[in-house]
Parts: sequence; C-alpha cells; structure tokens
Amino acid sequence: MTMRRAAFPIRARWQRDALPGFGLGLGLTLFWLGGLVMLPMAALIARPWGEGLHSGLLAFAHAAHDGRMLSALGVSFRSALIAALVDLVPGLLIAWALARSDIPGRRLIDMLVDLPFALPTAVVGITMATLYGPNGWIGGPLGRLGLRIAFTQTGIVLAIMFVGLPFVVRTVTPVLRNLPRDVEDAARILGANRLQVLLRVILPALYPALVTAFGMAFARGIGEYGSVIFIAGNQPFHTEIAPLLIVIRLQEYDTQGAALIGLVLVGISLLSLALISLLRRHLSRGTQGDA
Amino acid sequence: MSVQLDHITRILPQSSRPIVDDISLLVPDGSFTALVGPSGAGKTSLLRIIAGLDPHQGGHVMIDGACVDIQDARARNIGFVFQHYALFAHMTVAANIGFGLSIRPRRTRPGKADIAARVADLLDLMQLPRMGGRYPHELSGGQRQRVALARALATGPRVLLLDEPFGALDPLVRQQIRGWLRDLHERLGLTTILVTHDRQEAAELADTVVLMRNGRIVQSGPARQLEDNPADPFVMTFTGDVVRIAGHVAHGMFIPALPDIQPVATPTADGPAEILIRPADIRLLPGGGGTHAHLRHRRGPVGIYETTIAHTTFAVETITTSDSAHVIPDCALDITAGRLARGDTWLERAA
Repeated sequence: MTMRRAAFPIRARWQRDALPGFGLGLGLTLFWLGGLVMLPMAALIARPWGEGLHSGLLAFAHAAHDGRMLSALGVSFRSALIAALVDLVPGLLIAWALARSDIPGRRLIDMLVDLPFALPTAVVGITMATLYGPNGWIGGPLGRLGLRIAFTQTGIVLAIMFVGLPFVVRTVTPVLRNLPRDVEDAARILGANRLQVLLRVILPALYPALVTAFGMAFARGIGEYGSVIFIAGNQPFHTEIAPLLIVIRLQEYDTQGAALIGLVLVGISLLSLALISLLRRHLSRGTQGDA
Repeated sequence: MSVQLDHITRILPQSSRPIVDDISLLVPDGSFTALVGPSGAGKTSLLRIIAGLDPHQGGHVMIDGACVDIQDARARNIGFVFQHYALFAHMTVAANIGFGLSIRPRRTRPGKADIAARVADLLDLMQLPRMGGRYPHELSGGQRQRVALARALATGPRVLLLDEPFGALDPLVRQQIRGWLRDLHERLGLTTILVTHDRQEAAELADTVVLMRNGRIVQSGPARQLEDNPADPFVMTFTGDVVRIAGHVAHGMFIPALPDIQPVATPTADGPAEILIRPADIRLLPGGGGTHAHLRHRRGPVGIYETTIAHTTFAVETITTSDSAHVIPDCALDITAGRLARGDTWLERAA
C-alpha cells in the first residue's frame, strides 16, 4: 500500500515531462555543475588549510590584521555597490526607451547595450583610461575644473558601471515590455497623476527585476578586473581592488594569501546574493512565480 | 449623471478609416446602456474616449451637461472596469480597492481609518468577505472581476464604464455576476455603459442596446425593438438566429431559388433578392409541396423540425404537443413573415 503510493507519483512525473531525456540531462548537468563550480570552490575553501590547520589559522589571523587586504576588499565591495546602485537609473531609462518609446535608432541602441558584454574588459579599461585620463577628452576639461576621475575610486566606479549597465537593461526591458498598459490606464482613471502612476504602479511592478538587475551588476562588479586596473591607478590602501591583490599575491608566490582573499571574496559575494534573492522574493510576493 | 456624445470622431494616425465615425448618443441619467457589435466596431474606443483615456479629433463629450473634452481622465471621476481586470498585482485586494482614495491630495484624502472602512464596506457589497489581505493572483476570475468593480466604485463615481467585463468568466459565474451587476446599478443609482459582443448579455442587462458597426451606430433602442424591427439585415443577423433564403423578384413576386418554398408577393422592382427570417417565423404547410420535415428534438412546448431542400437543411421552430407527428410529409415552407433584402438594405416589406 505504502509502496504503491510512493512509486506512483514518481512514474507519473516521468511520463508527464515534455523534455525528452530529462533524467539523463539533469544528471549530466549536475555532474558538470559539480565539476565546474563545486570542485574549484571546494579547492578554494581547502587551500588555506593546505599547510596544516595551524598554518591556516595563522594565515587568517594575519589576514584579519592585513590592512592592505581589508582596504582592497573594501574598495571592491564599495565600488561595486555604488556602481550597481547608480546603474539602475540609466539602466531603467534605457530600458524604458527600448520598451516603450519609438525613438529613432532604437535598434542601434538595442545593439549598443550589449557591447560591454562583447568587448574584452581590457579594451574597456584602456578606452576609459584614455577618455578620463588627465589629458583625455573628458578627463582633461574636468581636471581643469578640479575634478579627477582617473586613478580615483570614482574612476573605479565608472568602469564597473560601464560593465554592469547591460545587466540592468537586459533584466528590466522584458518586464517593462510585458507590463500591461491597462494597469496604468486604471491608475489614471482612479485619479493618479503621472508621478503617482510611475511611483505607485510601474516602479513597484519593476522592483523584483530591479533587484535582480542590481544583484547581477553587483556580482559582476565585485569580480571585475580588466576594465578597472587601467583607470584605478592601483595604489595600495586607496585604489587597489581585491582581484588585483589576488594577482599580486600570486606573483609573489603567496598562493595561500591569494586563496584567502578569494575565499573572503566568495564568502561575502554568496552572502550578498543570498540577501538579494531574499529581498527579491519578499518584493515579488504579489506576483505569481518568479520575476 | 447623463453622458452625451456629440458627433465624436476618432482617427488613428496610421489609418485612413476612422475607428469612431461621427457618433452621437445620449445616455440618460440612471440608464443602463450596452454597446454591442462585432470586434473592430469601435465599441471599446468609444468607451475609452468617454473615459478620457483616448483623444478624439471631432465632437464633444458631455457629462452631466458639461463638456469634458479638455479634462484629463483623472479629473472625470468615472468608474472603469477593464476587460482583463487590470488589478495592481503587487498590492493586496484592500490596497487595490483603496487606491483611488489613497492617492488623493492631502487636502481631500480621507484618513487611513476612513479608507479602511470604505474598503470593508465595498468588500461586503461585492460579497468578498475577508479577502482584503489577499493578492490578486490568489483569487478566481470572478473574484478578481468583483475586486476591479469595487476599485472602480471606491471613489464614488456616478458613471460606470465596463469593457467586456465578463469575457473571461465561465458561463455559470457570468450568469450570477450579471444579475448582481444589474442589482448594483439600481441600488447605487449609477449611469452604466457596458461594452460586450454578447447580444444576450446586452439584452438581459441593458435598457438600451446600441448596435455598432465600422465605427458607426447602426441602430439603438430596447433589445426587443432591435430584434423585432431591425434597421437593416446586419442588425437582424446580429440580434438573433436568421435563415437566409436567396432568390429573385419578378413581376411582383419573390421567387426562392430553392423548390418547396412558397413565393412571396412584393411590390419591389425585379432583380436578385433574399429573404431573412427567424426560424420561429417559418411555417410548415403540410401537403403544399414535396419535402418531408422530421421532428429533431423538443424542448418543452417548442419542437424543431428539420427539412432538407436541395442539400440545404432548414430548422423550423414550432409549438408542438405530445401527439405531434414525427414526420410531416409533402410539405412546403411559408416564409411570408420574413424580410426582403437586397444587399445591405431592406426592400419594401413583403406584403
């Protein structure tokens, strides 16, 4: 009796699934996920303890007092956070233009949005360093006004923003496009002015997508390396980012130290992503399924 | 409040044909009017113009005698129920219903407690007790429709516009919500305009049915009048079952193209024509011709006989008794009660 009960739902699900070879596919996927993601992660977690428990603990104790590492982590997370937050504004505007307006060159903009995905990050970095450098097209005039962008944290934020922008546009556009227009009409008829329609009807419907976009841009920003190092100046304690410090440690044959920074980076990233997904779930409680 | 439309025209930028073409209509205070017609007739466009959601190029919209052409939708205080409910998915049912009140400027905004009380009243009125805390996606279609209605009524509008509100509901719920809507209309003293493509729905709910086609009003009046005195063949086809019998007029007689249908006298000029007749108006003349009619089924006192003449099957509705014959042999069809048409207009009525 109990056996039949247990066996039946499983068979029923197998038969109902439309995807052919789902079982095999799932198995392979899990295998690759394990091989490509979980195994290196395990290695990373294990690495600091490679020379024994004592050595590992000592490394952690050192790290806790290593000002250069802590400030590098600080620069990385702070820059990624600011960049991802600021990205939401132009990202939302571009998404709006793509989804709602009929501006000329809409297709061209649509294409250009993906450019940061396609460019090697080093190219982005060199271009930005040239533009914003002390003699650059933008950096020059701004410099005369007393504003320095290259070799400051502002420069880091700008570089990360450039790389993170497509995430916002690509996440928000489809949601905005699928937003029913009659909901806005309903709000208008109920007496809402344009600002109220935007703030109380459209934006709340976009919150889950905006949070997802923020999370992706943020995650990308933390790991961003190529585009940042050219514009950052890379002064320790000031404009040195954590990924760069990992490379420096590796060049110093300090693999344990590099792995340690990596471990902290991964830990905080995972924690942030978990918080973001929690927030998104909270925000999308009114809508069915995911957002 | 009455709604008056005075030569309203709306032309979409891309198209040459107006989607609303010179429409004038008076909806008296407290009346229930239904706009019916095939899709693309301009019903929804007209409703959106009245609400102020869409602009119009010519004419005036008057509510309660005052021209509202330059008033934005938000200033007109009209209740509008959308075809797909258009509920705010991220708000609870209570927040949806209270939305219109909560966005008012501080001066005229009721207090939180007043809004909550109004929402509770409306939930009661809509028979949605204890649903205030739910989200729209947790409700059934009929419940969502009632929430949409409650939301539209929350600000106390005197005019209620409904855009195919029952389209997505199953027939049983539809029937229930109809009766209840009519009741609500009476109780709140509303002026209601309903858009629908369902003629039965229109006939059941509305005092006045306005039949539209290609952006124009074809005929308006009580449903019964449209059924009994259709202005043209289109109205007749739209308002009920119709049998069309082709033929031609010669020497003052309409001669059907099919045998076993009796000719009909008419004073009109010779030429092709057709007769449109409701199945209930066709008579069977036993012994008058060469076709056999079979009793197909019987619903109460109404029986339906079917007869096939030259591969065309006609259904004839008649009053039957339990001893009515199952087969009526050698009969002909009498269609004198039908209307004679040529193209889109009536010819002189068959005498």
